[in-house]
Amino acid sequence: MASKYNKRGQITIFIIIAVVVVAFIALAYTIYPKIRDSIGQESKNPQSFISECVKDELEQYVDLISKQGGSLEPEHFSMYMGDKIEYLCYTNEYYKTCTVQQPMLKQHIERELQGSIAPQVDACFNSLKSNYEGKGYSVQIQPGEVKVELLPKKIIGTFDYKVTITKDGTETYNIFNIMLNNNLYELISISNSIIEWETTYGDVDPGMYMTYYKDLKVEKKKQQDSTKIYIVTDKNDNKIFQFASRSVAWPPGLGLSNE
Amino acid sequence: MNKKILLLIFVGIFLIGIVSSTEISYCCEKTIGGAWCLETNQDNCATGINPETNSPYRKAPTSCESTSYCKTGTCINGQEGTCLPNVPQIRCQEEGGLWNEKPKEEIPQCKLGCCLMIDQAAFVTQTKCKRMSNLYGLETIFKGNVQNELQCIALSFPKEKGACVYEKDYEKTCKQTTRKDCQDMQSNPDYSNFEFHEGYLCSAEELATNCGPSKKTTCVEKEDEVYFLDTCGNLANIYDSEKIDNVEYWTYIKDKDESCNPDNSNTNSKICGNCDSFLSSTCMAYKSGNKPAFGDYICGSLDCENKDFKDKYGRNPKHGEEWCVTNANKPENANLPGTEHFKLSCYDGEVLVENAEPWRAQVCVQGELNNIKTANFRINNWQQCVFQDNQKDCENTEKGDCKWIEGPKKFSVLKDNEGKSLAKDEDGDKTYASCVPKYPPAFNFWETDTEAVQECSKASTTCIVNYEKGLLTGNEWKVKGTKTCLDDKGNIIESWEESMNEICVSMGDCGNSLNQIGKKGYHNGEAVIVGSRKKTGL
Repeated sequence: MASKYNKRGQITIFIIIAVVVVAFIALAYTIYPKIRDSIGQESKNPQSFISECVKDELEQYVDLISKQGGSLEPEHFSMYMGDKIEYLCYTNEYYKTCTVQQPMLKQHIERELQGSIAPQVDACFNSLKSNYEGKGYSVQIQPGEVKVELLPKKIIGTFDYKVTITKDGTETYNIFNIMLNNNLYELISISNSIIEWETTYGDVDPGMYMTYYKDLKVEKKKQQDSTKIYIVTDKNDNKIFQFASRSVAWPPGLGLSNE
Repeated sequence: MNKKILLLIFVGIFLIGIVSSTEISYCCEKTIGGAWCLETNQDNCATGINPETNSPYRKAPTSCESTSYCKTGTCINGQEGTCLPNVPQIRCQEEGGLWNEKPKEEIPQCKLGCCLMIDQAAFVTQTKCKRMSNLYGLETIFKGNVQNELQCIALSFPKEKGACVYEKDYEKTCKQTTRKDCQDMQSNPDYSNFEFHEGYLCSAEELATNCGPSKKTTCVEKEDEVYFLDTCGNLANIYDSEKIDNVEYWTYIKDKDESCNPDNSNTNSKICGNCDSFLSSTCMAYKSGNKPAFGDYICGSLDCENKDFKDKYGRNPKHGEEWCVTNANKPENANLPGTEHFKLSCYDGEVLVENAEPWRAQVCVQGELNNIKTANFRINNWQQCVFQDNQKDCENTEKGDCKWIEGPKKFSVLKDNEGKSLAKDEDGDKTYASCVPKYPPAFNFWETDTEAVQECSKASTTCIVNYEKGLLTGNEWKVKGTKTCLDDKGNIIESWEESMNEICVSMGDCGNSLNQIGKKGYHNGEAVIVGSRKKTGL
């Protein structure tokens, strides 16, 4: 009699444990998309596979470039809070307005981003190939151009790769896109306007921009050598673009012995 | 003969010194530091090949304006339709721009006009207008005859906004939009029977749609005011709790001026949502204890909190308000070494700090407009002070930022070759006074070979004191004649020392003083150095 109750008790415990385990897996599968993704990779189409694979890297480069005045490896820079910040307008002389160093800022940043993510894009397509091949597909990839475009409120990456996937039938993908919600385009437009003021008048009143653009914060940090670090922040998401300028610099004293 | 030879050698060394110190300046296409088109020492010019042009980086012993590659002009970005002045030719062309030596005002592609996009307007070039319209999927409307931004903004006011009534799933519904948008919607096969009612709200009873008044409110991006929403989610007029049941208010579009309390910030008002960021308020979610009569949004304050400002002026700074401070620990230390001027400004609840140009080349000046503090930097115009020989010219602000200091006896910063004062009083007679900078400039006095020594030495003086000893003095050394700097007992006259030091520290970071936080520097120098006595008499 006692052993019959013990057996029943054991079965009940096993059932409870099984329910808990199943519930835990279901919960983890729902809460952590990455677990779901790694398990359910097959269900992902090539477009979203590439998009997710490149996205983090592109975001990181966008953040870095935004912090460094539009260059991944600034060549002519001022150090500010541990960051190398590219001069977008510069003069080495006193009292003179600066010369524009990077006249096509948007295109320059697009080229920088294209160059930086190209290896990752290649790696992602290779990963896509091995992933699908591991699941019995035959995959052919024809590499193409990597393009990044800054647009209002977004950044679009276009990868002109041709991917052909064959198993029971054949599917061909000719172009892959990735989109980041980012306002770098707007921040660059404001920065260009600041550069125009710097090169024309030698200075800018940040308050002027903040009065007209309610979502913007414009900070100007003057350094000891008359370099100005401009930090343009979108208050909605705290994304920044910062750059350096040296224009109408002032010497110590009369500047007779330092120039 | 020996003397002549020595003199020639001395002059020779001096001239070599001059030649070597005035090196020829080169225009470098690129410097080794990575900067483009700088005039500098030729050793700083980059060598190697420019990957864009496939030719060596150029340099020429001339100004950059005289070179073909670094001459500056306007760079036209054909893709974006923007024009940037002061761009070196090489940089513009390398980056894919179109370079033009004319100023942007004289270039047709750079001519600005008004670009209209639904209810928005931008004062941009025609190319930029096309680009923007293309990006937003709109028709390009460019008005080249508009002369300035204000005229352009005036054109953007929505004259054709109203209620777009249509049928969807056999139900009469409505969208608050422009006539153009309403026309565009007609291409959607799911909608039919369109009517546009200019100046009407969707909640208007006479339109007989399924949209009506509601008690909900909302904030709108880029706008200050709190708005009512109708039951379809369309924006209605500005929130006014007294108009919640007013049929007319829910029928016609009302301007800001026609809404509640239009010339007030309405900060924290529970009944009126007519906020104005120029008056320090904007739409935001209410905070506890301040729930509006309807909805969840009120006019919140954009003002800042700042203790120093409040201590000084008895209130917190307002949105857009600016004021001056220095880093000196006391107001009386504001001109001491290490002092910098700062402009603080309040924007959107945050106090931002901007510093003046270093070396006190700029000073912050504060004003007031309609009880709002305004501040700005201006040049510290101290350079001409020492050349002013009378009080009137010295205190003339057009001539500089200077102050007139009387005394001490027998001293003036402005003196002739023999050290005699050139300062004059009101009657044009010789006096002992000095015109010195009101805001002493900063010098890099800790470095060698700077002009600090030269500038500071203008306020230096040597006071020669004659002593005599004899039977009449009891066989003791005693000061003879006028006592400029020493008293009868041979002690330095305190008032003379203070007066001299005041002039000295006014010349810049000179003399014997503390720094801006009241601490002594690392040079333990004395303002007055007493030299040795020399016997000159019998």
